Amino acid sequence: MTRALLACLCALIWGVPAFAGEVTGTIDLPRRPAPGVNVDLYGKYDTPDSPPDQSGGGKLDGVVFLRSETNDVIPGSLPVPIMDQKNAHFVPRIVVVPAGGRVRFLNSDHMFHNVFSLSPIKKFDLGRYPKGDSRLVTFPHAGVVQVFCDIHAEMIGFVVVVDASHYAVLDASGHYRISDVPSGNYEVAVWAEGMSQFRTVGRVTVPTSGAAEFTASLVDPR
Amino acid sequence: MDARQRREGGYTMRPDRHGFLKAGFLISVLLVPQTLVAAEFGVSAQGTFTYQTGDDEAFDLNTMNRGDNPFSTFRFLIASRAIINENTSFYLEVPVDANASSSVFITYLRPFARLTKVGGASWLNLQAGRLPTVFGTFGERSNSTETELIGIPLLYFYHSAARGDIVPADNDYFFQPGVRGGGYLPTTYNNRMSFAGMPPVYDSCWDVGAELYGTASGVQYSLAAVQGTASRPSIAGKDNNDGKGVIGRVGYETQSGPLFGLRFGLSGATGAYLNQSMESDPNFPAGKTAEDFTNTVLGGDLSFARGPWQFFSEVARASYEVPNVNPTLYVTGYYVELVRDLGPAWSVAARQEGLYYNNITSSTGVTQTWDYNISRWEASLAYRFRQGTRLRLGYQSTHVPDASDLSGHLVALQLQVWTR
Repeated sequence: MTRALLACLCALIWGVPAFAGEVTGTIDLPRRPAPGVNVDLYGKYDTPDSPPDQSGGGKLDGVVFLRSETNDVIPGSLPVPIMDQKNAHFVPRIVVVPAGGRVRFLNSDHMFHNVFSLSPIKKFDLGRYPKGDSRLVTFPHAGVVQVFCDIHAEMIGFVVVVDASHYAVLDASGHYRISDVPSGNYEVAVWAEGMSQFRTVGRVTVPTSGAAEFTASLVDPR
Repeated sequence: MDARQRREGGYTMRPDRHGFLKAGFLISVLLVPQTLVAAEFGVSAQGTFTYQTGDDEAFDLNTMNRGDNPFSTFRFLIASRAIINENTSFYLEVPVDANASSSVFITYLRPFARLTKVGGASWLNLQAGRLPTVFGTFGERSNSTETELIGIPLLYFYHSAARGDIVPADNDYFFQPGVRGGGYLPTTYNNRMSFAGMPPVYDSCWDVGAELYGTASGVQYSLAAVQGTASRPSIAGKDNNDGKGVIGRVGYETQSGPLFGLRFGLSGATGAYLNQSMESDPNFPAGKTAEDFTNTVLGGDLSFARGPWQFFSEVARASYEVPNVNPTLYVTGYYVELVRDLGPAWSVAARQEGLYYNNITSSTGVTQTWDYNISRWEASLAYRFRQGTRLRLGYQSTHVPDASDLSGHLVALQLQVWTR
């Protein structure tokens, strides 16, 4: 009884379950191919000063998320991740939001960008706006939204809209850490660049305290 | 001479049956060495497939020297970049056009090297080789995926009656039938082939030279020394006279405040355009050299974009000092272009433009423009299926008040596909 009351109190005050655990692990993805060379003969004034390092060698960009097998309540108040446009790249290249979440598209460049998407689950066109300005986009449905810049064809980003409230973007080695996960049973799903749909890769049980580990591989053993 | 006689009397370029095989071989030969020396190498490609209908003359008026035409049944543009190190890249672009003569394919190759941040200065960059058009700003958008309209502005391709390989005996040359309005057709002169007349700026034909360019705090500059001139680039890669051309642009693009993205600039170009071989022409003035006759172009550009709107405009005046012809020939032209995105997939665009020639007087006292004034408007509706695939419907209406047979309409449906 005391624990239940404490849990409710914590949830009310911090919005975090009292017995939140953590899930860590590695999703082994295929290696990322070296990025394509930007073959732009004409944009001599558009050359970014210092494009971010996107050299090959790391794993494919990917996302892991946990679907509750009982009741996954997506909180009403969600943080709004920012997808910046910097040196003619989307930074970060992948953002994750739960269905119904919003993403802020910021322009930090001295030049125009024009973010748009033709993905069936969310089509939008933000037009051209100046440095320092941003636009908010709501993503009501789960799925993967590929975003482009109408002016710089080499710019590609992904908004991964998940039907879950616990998720993480994999780092270059495929490691992840998802914190504040209420105890319970979860389905583990992943998405990686090149996949058309989310893929369920297993199940994990989050204890009332401590961490659970889940590791999977999507690398073809051949 | 009516429009049909002009076409049939002209030199018609037809693609060689084996031309595209030769083209493929040549491209392969050129690309392989790049892959061997490059730290990184990339290729991009685009294709346009066009069905057009309307007046034959309206199609012909879009034709360039080598027969290439933005309304051609198919066109391909293959581009490569070999990155040697952080600051050095070699570029090669190869346009292929269903209407172009393969016999002049070699002049299509567009190789150049780009060296950025020379001496560590971010504002100092160098390009050398066959240079993308330096004059004005349309050159940056001339790639068909960068423009909403199918046609090219008249300022950047429309051939006038002024030629660099003909020496008129006097002003009366421009009063002969077929001279005015026939600039896009090669003709015969002294029993040899004379190529098409000069446009104010010839974007499709990249000149050979070196260019310094850069940008700092919004100021953009570009200065190039080339073999030819803005109106008559050195198409064969060989200089046609001893003079060099100079082309430059200085501009400014606002980087903050409510006018962020407002861009404007001034361009200038001058150089000798006449073939040196014209010095032996019986009509060539004694005591003069080919380098005494210059082609000068001055222009300004203004563009702005905000939200779903884009606006582009340019104005330019080209002059030609022609032996035995007085006064100096001028042509003044402009275009204004408006683009409106209608969501992520749809867009509409329209362009209004014109070219206006100055008057000259014949030996019989008749005064008229040395070529026909021409105006044109074009509109398009485009639909993007996905990134890299676009279908557009275009309509072009050309009006030549003094030569109704040159006026006409063109409707085109064009599918564009491209890789990054």
